[in-house]
Amino acid sequence: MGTRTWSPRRRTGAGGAGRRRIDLLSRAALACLVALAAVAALGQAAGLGGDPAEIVGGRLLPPGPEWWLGTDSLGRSMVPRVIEGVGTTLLLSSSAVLVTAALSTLLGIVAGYRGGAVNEAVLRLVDVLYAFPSIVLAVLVAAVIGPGRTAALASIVLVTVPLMTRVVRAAAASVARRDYVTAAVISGARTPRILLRHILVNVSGTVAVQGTYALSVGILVEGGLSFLGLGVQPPESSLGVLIQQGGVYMVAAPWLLLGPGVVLVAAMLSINVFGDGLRDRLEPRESRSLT
Amino acid sequence: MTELLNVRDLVVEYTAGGGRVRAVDGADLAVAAGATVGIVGESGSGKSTLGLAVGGLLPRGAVPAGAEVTVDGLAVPLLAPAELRRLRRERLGFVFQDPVGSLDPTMRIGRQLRLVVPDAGGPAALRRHLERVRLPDPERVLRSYPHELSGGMAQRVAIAMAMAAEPRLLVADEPTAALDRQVRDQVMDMVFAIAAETGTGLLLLSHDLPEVVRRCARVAVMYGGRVVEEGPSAEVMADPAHPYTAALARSAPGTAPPGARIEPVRGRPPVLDGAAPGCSFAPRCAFSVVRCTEERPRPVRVRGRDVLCHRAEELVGAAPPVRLAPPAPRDGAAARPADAGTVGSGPALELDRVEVVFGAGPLSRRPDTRALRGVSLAVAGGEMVGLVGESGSGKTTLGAVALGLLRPAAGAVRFDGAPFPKRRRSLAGRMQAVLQHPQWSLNPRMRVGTSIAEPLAVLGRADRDGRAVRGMLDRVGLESGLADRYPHELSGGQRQRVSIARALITAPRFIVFDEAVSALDVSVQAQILNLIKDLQGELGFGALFISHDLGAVRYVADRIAVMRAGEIVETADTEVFWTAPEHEYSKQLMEAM
Ligand SMILES: Nc1ncnc2c1ncn2[C@@H]1O[C@H](COP(=O)(O)OP(=O)(O)O)[C@@H](O)[C@H]1O
Ligand code: SF4
Ligand SMILES: [Mg+2]
Repeated sequence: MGTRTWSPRRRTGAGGAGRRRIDLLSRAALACLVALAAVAALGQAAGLGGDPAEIVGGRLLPPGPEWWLGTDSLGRSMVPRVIEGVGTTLLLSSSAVLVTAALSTLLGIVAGYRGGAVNEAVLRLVDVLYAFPSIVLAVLVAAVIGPGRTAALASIVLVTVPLMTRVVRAAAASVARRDYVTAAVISGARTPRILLRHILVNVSGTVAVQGTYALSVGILVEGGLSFLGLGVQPPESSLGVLIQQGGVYMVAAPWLLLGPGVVLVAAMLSINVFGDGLRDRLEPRESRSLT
Repeated sequence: MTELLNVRDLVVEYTAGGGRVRAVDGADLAVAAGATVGIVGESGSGKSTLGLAVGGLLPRGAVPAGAEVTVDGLAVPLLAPAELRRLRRERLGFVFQDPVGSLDPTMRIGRQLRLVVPDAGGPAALRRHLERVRLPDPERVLRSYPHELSGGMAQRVAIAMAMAAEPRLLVADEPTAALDRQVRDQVMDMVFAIAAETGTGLLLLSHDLPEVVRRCARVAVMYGGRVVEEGPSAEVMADPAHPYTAALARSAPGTAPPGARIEPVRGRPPVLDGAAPGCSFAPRCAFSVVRCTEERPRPVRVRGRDVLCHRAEELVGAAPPVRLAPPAPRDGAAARPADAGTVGSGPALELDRVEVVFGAGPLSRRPDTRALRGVSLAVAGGEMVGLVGESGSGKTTLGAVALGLLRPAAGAVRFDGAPFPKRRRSLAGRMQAVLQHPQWSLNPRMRVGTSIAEPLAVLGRADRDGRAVRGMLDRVGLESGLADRYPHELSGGQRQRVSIARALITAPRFIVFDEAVSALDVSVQAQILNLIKDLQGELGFGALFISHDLGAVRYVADRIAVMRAGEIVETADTEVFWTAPEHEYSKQLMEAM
């Protein structure tokens, strides 16, 4: 036995020397994500593949030496459109996730630490949000504030907040019961101090892990919403917009789905693999894998 | 002669907080095939590290590639990861202290066992493995998840897994320290019986000298990362050659006459930076001479044993060393805490007919719990009152009321003669607590020094130059270098000392110790109890010492209060209580001891 059932991992913990590095696969996933973001950002800035709005040639041309991913129904080159789409989607979902992380962390640690009525209120709120299927929630939002980027952002936040708040709250509640928190209370420490110095730092790993998962949920929500025409509006592109447009010509020009599809799958895979690696690194106890 | 295990001049270094800790500092050890060898040493002496090195389980870089650690002739540091795994799978078994932690919580026992049993075998084979470790009802165990088993059962499973492949050597690191006392002996008996049956060599790591001596044919005593004496158990115990072994033999709780002060090895464990040129025991050794601090001892053969002491030969035949030097005077930092409050003798704390009721919740059918039923108790300034009672009797609730964490439903609490203030924060710094779990007593993300200084920071008194923290560390017998470490780099005993330092830094008038030593090894318990007693004598705080262990309570307390089902059934001076307990329940407690 030895290796599998007991690893020296637990001698090295947070903060000290001998940190365990996350494994190779997760690092590869992270590299893939960074590469996607870099291509999107730099590609747009450098005008890689030309102007996404410019009509360059025939409609629905298959991929070839000139237009690597073909052209769309208006005769625009797909390469710059995919680059723009990835950029929009990543930017939108990561901004939304930042908002979610801030909200969920605040709600989660206050509810987890204070317990009582505050906790009840937060749990109810989360349950109510959670009860709506995400796409219904997104449609409602779009109906209220009108389709567009803001609607997409707000929808992602509303869908991911309950997921993340639950987990962070549970983690905070367990940290709150530890003796060092009690000792700080006995010493007369005030709530903000306890939340920041004792609770927050000890749930930050959980927040990071949940953040990566929220990012993948965000990308899916953006896709779904734009697919329904309620998110990012053409002529701007996003992965959702491109997939929606590709879907229309799926039979005549299946290659329209190639670029956005591959990128979407790559993004989702690498985010989830990276999230798992991060979880193994930051929360080794909960995650002992079975293999 | 090729031994089953051979370790020669092994050095293991951890990098910690920017510095290096030399946990093993030139240790030698040999285990013959089928032999039983115990390594004894206080916590922090490097036993576990040595055990991990045998299995190549240390973080990369900790063991130099050229180190001589051989198992069955294979050089462990040179093995490729796959070979190392194979070595562990086929020839080595490990059992650690925490049985539940060593099993996978998400898998049924049967499945986990199947993964380590060579050439699978059917359910019958699995059952046999469990029967071998004397587990009743193996069928049910195979279907269980680890959390459904008691600690003793889980440890038996872990042992079954470690022994499944019939390894050549089993390394057991404090395998019973986390178990109840009654179960301990059974599990130990079983481990030794199986090892004898299968001809497996056994390396038992433990802090408990008498236990090791009773069980193992040979014993190796470790101190400061070195094996200072090794030999046949009976001989070592009867006639220790190294001054540390002698001190250790005397500190064993079983050997002290009842009522007498257990004599822990005095002074502080060594700094493990590998820099000290001499004998690492010199600062605590009653026989130390100049040479001891200047020159590193080499093994000397005395009475057929290798002993790491300059004076071993001289001391032969001399009366067994019984005297130990008092701890060296500590330079300058005689650390009076910030402003030692005047020691009054009026009551520091008074509880007057206190009632606490825990509601069972609106939906529950269970009745509310009356955790405290009209409890009255006073603790004078400078007095230590022990509170004993079985778990669930309300001890911790009483402590929480005393600290103002819980408001009683009825009754009054007075602190320092005044009614308890509405805002307990106005008492900040004047009362503190030392709580039970060493592993959760310190924030894992905070350096030890920051944790100790926190109560001062809360009062707005920053400890900028770190002097108060260093002073407190010194007071509780820790190196000031520890301030920069993180809790996971400390042993349980060290962490509990840190908790005490944190409680003392504001010079409180009153401290609650809630099961403060219950989770520690017996030998460390003795050290911490003595520390608490000494500090209280010196600083004169009033204290409530809560424990389910009557032995610990009578050892430190001036007065004992016995609690049962939310009531205090008897209060008496410790002496009186000891000789003539009045209440029926107190008598029962005494008899159970
Ligand atoms: N992961 C680690 N990082 C830094 N120091 C450590 C680590 N693990 C143990 N130590 C230090 O090494 C020394 C020996 O520890 P250990 O081998 O666990 O001793 P024992 O088994 O006798 O209790 C102690 O001073 C301890 O603080
Ligand atoms: S070498 Fe000196 S200090 Fe060390 S144990 Fe021997 S007599 Fe004591
Ligand atoms: Mg140990």
